[in-house]
Amino acid sequence: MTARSQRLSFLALVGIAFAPPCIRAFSPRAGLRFAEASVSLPSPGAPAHPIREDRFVYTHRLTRFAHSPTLTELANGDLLLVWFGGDGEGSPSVGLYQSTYRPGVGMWTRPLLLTDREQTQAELGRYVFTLGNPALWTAPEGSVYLFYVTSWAAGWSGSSIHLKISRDNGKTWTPAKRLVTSPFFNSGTLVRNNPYLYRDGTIGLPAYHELLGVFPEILRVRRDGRVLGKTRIDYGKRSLQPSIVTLDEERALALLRPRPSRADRDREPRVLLSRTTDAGQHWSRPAALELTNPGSSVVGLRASDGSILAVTNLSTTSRNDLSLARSVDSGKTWTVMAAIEHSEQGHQFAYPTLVQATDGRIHLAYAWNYARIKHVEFNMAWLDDHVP
Amino acid sequence: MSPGATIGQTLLVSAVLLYLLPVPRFSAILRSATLVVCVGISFFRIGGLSLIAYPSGLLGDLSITTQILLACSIASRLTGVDVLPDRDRSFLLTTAAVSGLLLYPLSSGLTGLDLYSWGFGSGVLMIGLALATFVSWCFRPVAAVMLLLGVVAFDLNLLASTNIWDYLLDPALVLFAWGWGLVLLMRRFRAPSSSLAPGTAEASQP
Repeated sequence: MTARSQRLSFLALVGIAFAPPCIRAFSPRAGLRFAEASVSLPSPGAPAHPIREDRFVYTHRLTRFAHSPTLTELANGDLLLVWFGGDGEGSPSVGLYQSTYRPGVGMWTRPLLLTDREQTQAELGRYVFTLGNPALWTAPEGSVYLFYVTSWAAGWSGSSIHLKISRDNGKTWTPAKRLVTSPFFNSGTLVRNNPYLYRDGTIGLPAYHELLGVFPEILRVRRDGRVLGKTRIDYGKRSLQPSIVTLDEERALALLRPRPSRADRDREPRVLLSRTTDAGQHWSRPAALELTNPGSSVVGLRASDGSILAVTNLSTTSRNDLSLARSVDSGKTWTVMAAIEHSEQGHQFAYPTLVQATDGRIHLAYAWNYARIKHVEFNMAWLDDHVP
Repeated sequence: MSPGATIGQTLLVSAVLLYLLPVPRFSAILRSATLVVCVGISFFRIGGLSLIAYPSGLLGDLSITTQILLACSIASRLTGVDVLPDRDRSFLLTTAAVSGLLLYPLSSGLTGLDLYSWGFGSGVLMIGLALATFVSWCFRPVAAVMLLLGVVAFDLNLLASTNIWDYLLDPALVLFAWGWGLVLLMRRFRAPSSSLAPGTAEASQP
């Protein structure tokens, strides 16, 4: 074979090998759109009087440490809560626990161990040191998606994201599947807040990176856990843990946990906000809101009346309070509505999660002093009653 | 674990074992048996997990490039013949070292540019890689074939990743390439001073 014919043969092989990815890359696609924001309307018979109910998810001490709850409403109307608990954050003893709440009954079911280090590493065939944050999402057809963090080291730099799916409202779960999200040992990516849906059926997974840089990003994930793409919301080390609130098919805002640096010590740390107008393909540079925050997780939700709710620690130094804020102008201005918790005894309240159920009630859960998970349930009438 | 990942970790553990174990020099059957033993040990279960699960937890999936290099290394160890010519190995490691210098800092959020995100299906990156593959064929055919095999593995979804970078490059390869480059640089710096040392020229005469 002459050099010329060898070259032509190899060129043909290159053409064949590169054709599929090039066709995928250059084929015309419909623009990316958010699925319609899942705003539910209260049923006509819903009570007009204000309701707020507080309860612990379990009253005994299940584990020494409990943290990072995540809530979702199941297809049958129940709520599913998942959190991580063990001897402490980053401990090999950490497991993910789950409990279910039936509206009207007013009680959470006995917590069950959903998965732990040993089970996850057996399912993955990989060594796992500890488990971390979970994030739940219920698909329109009723499947429940659980994204959660594992790490091969005690710190979160060794973390990666995994997916389990339940098709029977959390009774059974598929084996864990690992998402590949980072080129450096697939490490440093975590989840915290709930995913959302794109119109093409793919999942938007708010994530953040903690390896060298600390920054928020969005992963677009297929239903089988394969990652289709990622978009940064910010870079550097300023912010993390995005909570996405979709406003319409193209607009959304991301509430971000600030990461105060030494250079910022003269400024009060505040919740940051970034916006997109092209369904998350580009994000504005995060801007500080008037809501102060000590550098702790914040969550946002678009309520059925169109207003946006945010739950955050308002103190600039401690997590000893937890407050509810509301914006009626798509996040431009915020009003603090109510203090959910405040402790002079040094109790800490962290990592809130927020959903509005189809009956219109809003459910908030958070880590109560890192020892238990607390659930606060209120309705829109209670919210309206707290307009300052 | 994906099929590609299992093969990669088996190659890694086997290569490490082959360099630790004595390899019989004269009998091809015994050499083959050593390889079979090494592969068997890779799947030996310790603490409920196979041996390959431990490097896998830390390293993740090894790229196709690393897997080919490991296979070449195993073949060289067993046959005593360098399967990969020195100049091709140097070219591959230099390319990996330079690519890693670009890819990892940019994917760690130090700037707004995220080169890794292009690997999920950027047409520009794919065209660039196709051109690089063809140009490599003219100068370094071995490197071109490796690049091509990486893309074929990407087409066939042999690894868990959906990002082309993970098929071409991995941190273990880049760290090795950086170490190799460092050793090479140190030798270069040392070489002039040793050549000036008295009596060196005479000593090097045959």
